[in-house]
Amino acid sequence: MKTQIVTAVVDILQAGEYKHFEVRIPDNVKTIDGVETSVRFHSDYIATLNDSNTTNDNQTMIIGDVRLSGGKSNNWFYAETVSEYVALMPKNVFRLQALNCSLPFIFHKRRDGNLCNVTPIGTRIKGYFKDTIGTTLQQDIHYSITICIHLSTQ
Amino acid sequence: MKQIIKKRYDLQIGEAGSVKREQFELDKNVSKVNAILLTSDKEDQLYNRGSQKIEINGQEIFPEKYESKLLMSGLNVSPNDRFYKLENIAVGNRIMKVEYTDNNEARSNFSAYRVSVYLELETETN
Repeated sequence: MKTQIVTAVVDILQAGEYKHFEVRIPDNVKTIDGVETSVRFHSDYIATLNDSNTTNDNQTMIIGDVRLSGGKSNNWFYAETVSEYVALMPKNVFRLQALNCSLPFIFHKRRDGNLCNVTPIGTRIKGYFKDTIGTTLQQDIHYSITICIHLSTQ
Repeated sequence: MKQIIKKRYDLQIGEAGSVKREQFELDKNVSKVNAILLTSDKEDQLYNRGSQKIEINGQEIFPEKYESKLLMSGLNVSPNDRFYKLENIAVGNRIMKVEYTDNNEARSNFSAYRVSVYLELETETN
């Protein structure tokens, strides 16, 4: 059995945008092991945010919601609220955060195996992403969400 | 005798929006690649701007557009759990190809940085 990762990139341009997407997976997939999401901002507006827009503890904001369907067990086999650091991080602050042990990504042994263990029903994973940060800040913010799906293939 | 070692492979990123392709040869006595980790001398640049494709022995481990932040780890993680575990990776020709892409990002202004790929390797010694 081998592992493989497929990715989909969703571009969000407007506040409250609701975008459907589809990812093709190989036909020899046995299980969907896990899903990861990641945000990349293209709009300069995000760099103007400061601590007053976020909590002082971790400077994170909710970006939006992602849901995926195409598994045997449930209609939606994966649902996540995506959060991300939004304020501009000078180098020293980033280092300080690392030293204060607040980096957001924590890895465990077989982390993706623990996230979901779903048998796909076809060769397409469908899903949607709904913007929240644009609605919260009342701004059209351009950003992209990368959805990475970890697969076990035969 | 089997031994676990950590090896570091570096890429220098000197230009914003550039794609850097590097090929690294693993040691001859390497029998297995157990895990991988990414770090940088400027973590904010790697975290915000980086994405990469990694192949070992021609097998694609991470596809294009797989963001670097997903392979980074913090000091809050115990040292034994920091690496991303790889399974069933045949070492084969012992060649690792890295295609690193620097992407423009609103939160991070570019300045030259180093990307380090750490591998946890299993070696066979007599």
